[in-house]
Amino acid sequence: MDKEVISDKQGVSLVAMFIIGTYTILVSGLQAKKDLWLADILAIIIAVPLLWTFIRLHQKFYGKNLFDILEICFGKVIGKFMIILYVLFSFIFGSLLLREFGEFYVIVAAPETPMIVPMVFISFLSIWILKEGIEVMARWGEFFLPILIVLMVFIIFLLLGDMDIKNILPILYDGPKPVLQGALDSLTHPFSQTMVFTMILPKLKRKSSYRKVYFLGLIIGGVIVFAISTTNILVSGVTMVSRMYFPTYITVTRVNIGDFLKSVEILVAFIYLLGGFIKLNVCMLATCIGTSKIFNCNDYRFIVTPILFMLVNLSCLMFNSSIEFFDWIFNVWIYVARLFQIVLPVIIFIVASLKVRNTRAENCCEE
Amino acid sequence: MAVLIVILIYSLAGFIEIFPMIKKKQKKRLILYSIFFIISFLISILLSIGIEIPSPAVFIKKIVVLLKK
Repeated sequence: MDKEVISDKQGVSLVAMFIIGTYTILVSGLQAKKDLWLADILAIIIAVPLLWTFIRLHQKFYGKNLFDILEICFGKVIGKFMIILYVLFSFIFGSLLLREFGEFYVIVAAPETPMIVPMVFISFLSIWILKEGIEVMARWGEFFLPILIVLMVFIIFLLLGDMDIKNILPILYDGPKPVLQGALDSLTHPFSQTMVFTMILPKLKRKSSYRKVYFLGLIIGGVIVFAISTTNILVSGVTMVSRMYFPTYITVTRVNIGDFLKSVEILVAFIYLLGGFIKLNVCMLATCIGTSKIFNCNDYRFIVTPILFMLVNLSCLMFNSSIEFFDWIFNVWIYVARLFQIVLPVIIFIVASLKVRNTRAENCCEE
Repeated sequence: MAVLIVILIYSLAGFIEIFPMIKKKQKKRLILYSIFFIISFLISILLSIGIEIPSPAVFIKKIVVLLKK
């Protein structure tokens, strides 16, 4: 396998587009109700130490991804078991993303179409870009991130007239506890989902590159996420946002500039397409790299097609209806995600730190 | 009708991908690829016929509900 190299800027745009990705569709942290903006800021602040553990894992084992780290830290048997768990995690995560894309297309754009049709098209594109490798994906992300940001700013600018500050006041009416719960939800989705990047990032140019990639990506993604959620609350109010399937999409339908600029929500669908595509590709890249690691192959490109076919199958058979899907995401997947994205990486980091310290002590004693 | 489309897509993908692997004689990759391919093919055929397959979502939900208590 050729050495794959991505530059800092490309890594930053990958992380930022990953975070923005599905937030244009599903707004998270609604337990905080009116104080969703406070919960978002809190989630970004709490995400900083969490991302710091990912960065330190990258820097301790320079050039290795999470699967190598798992085998080094936990030994052959438990390491393989944990690799299988993480592969299954990113596989199911990918199927949720694909299903979400299909749901959006069917509910919003083409209700008569069977859901498998947009899923198949997106997965064919995904197969293509995965076979080209992470370089192409990163360059794609670098190209589209400015477009995404400009479009988002444009939409928020158009919505400035419809914002009602009364939807946010009074601040902290329900007390701090819902804000904390909302911050935890907002941390789970989307900020700690960047944990998937530990599985795929190749060797970056310098050790300090990882810090730039993760933190700058978090800041850019976090600001846009904060802007989207605050705009949703300001324009539509909390009750409407919690009831809708796709809050941002419905909020943007309100844009009506002088009876001339009306159907702007197609831009939101476009932004979602870009971000969601990157998110799906990153997750499937993690799955493919993990699968090739389980069977001790050094190239992942040959296994892309069957895994993505299985992904389409899983997305179709996992849920029977949209209601079941959304209920499952908000009531079941949140806990699974917290385990794999927050708890396990911290445990892996602690084990890795102890391991590095032990080997250093052994080296000192031998001398 | 849907079954025919499924068979067509899978055989296309199979032809494009398997022949290079046979030529280069990469045994391990071929076996791995074939296992995943056949599993996914079977599930696709079952889905397109209309047979209901138990979904892992229910299974995971049971585990999470159990652990929450």
